Amino acid sequence: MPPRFHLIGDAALNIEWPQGPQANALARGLHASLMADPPIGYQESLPALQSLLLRFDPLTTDPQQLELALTKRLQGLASTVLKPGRLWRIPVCYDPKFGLDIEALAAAKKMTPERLAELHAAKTYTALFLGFLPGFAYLGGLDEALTAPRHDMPRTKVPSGSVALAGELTAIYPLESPGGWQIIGRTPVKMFDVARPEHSLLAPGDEIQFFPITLAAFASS
Amino acid sequence: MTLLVRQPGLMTSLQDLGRLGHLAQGVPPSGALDCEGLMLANALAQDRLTPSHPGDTELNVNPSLKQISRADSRHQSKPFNGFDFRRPALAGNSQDTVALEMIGHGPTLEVEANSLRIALVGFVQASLDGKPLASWRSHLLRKGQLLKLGPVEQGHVAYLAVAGGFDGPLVLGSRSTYLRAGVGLKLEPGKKLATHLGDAPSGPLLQMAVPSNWICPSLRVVEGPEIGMLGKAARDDFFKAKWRISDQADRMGIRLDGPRLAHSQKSEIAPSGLVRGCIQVPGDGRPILLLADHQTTGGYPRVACVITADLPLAGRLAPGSEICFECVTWAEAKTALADRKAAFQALLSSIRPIPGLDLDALSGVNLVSGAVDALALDDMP
Repeated sequence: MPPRFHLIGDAALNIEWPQGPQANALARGLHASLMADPPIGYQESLPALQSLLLRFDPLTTDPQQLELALTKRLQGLASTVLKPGRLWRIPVCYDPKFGLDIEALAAAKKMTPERLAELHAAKTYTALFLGFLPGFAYLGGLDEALTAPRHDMPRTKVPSGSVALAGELTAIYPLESPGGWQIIGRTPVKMFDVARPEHSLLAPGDEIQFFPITLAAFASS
Repeated sequence: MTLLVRQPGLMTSLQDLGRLGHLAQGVPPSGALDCEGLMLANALAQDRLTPSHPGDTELNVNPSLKQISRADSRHQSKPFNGFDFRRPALAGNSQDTVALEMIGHGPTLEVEANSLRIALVGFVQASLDGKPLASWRSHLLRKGQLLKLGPVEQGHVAYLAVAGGFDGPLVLGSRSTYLRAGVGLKLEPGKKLATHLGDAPSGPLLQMAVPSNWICPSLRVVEGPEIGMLGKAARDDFFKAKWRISDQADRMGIRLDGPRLAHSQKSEIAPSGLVRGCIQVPGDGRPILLLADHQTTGGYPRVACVITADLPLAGRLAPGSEICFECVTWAEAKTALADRKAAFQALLSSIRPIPGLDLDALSGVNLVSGAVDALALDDMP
């Protein structure tokens, strides 16, 4: 299915694919391709769930020219397999001290908090895209048994490192911020750190596995 | 080498032209709400006129200034932000040198450096040791003097640049403050703003023409990909209504008050990319206009986006004022950008040394503010 192109202002283009499992992979694939071989006037791109936003210089190129170049590039892209990103193993303490919602959520799902943690740590997730906050990666691949609604009233403060889930996605809050997702644990790993050369730990396309750690292990890390 | 913060003001932060090119990491561009104001302040703070000026010759440049220019040029390959007229190493300040952005009401600062050349841009009330200080020009400040920045009237945002620039951590190519991610200094009484120079450079003080059309009640937009999610009546309302800037306004964005815009069906979309100037309409029907510290993705329909030419105007919107949106095509937006750049160049070209031997300024006493108005330039837009 061909994507839909639409202007966002005079200096950005939105490329959106019909909903489906391929949409995000195409957005990430096109993002990688654009970064490796930027077309004239390209400034940056941002893959999202099923779309890509491309910022361009309106004094160097125009939307028609870009749309043509991108359509052509996508034809070449369809046949190539997306290179997998890095695999990260991230420790998570699922203790209710950090997992503020894990007991209530487990009860609602008629399972123990331990079982919930086990299911969460059993999967390999893919970073579909980053957004909301610096370093906040939306991770796809959540077990169907763990899908959950957002809180009606978001918390005003979700602690940094909180591991959370909502809908069919899971994520780690890289910074303290307001948030409405169900919090099931916390990682001691800094997801966004300006002291590191690469500030954001995760990049779109990276794969993530979680492994449980105890409160003591969390404290000593 | 510092300015001591006595009072932080309403929303004061160090900003340059921002950290562009990191949206995919979830990092907003940040940077000055009004990039024109920032660039003008830097142009006035430097110790010489721009090279393009007729009859302008290289003034004696302090070697330490040259070094700072080089240090700041590390990120000269930064991408386009629509208003990037960065020139090769000006003496001390390039147009993206970090300056103090003051929103609503400025701070009170005490000079701890030996001497300091500052420049003020914007309709901000200011005083030095109790005597009024004019904006749209540079000033010489001495150790121990108290600089009080007051309310920002027209335009809501003003800039204070210093010759040589402020110091601050360089994060992803920018010294712009982004407190949500712990980047930059939060101004509090007792905190110190470090400057690169301990002494003011020796060049002449500069002034510019006071701009005549600093604010504008109409912003031009291009329709967004989800404009169709609004009902027909809401779509008409969006372009017909006068929108009031609510008190829910900060560097992330502005909530607009006006008619409630009803969605025809859904009011949410799959999380999608955002840029500065985007106007989202969430389920409550109150539009949000995104500014420099905007979140990078969002799930509300993007009904329109302010064109690059009008982004400085969007940055100058004051709570309580009213605006409307005018729909334009891409080609019209492009022409508008070229026009805007030309108008900005005219403003830059109005910068002149303050005539005569400015004894008042040299001794740190206020100059008669009428000198600025006396310029009466005819090359203004």
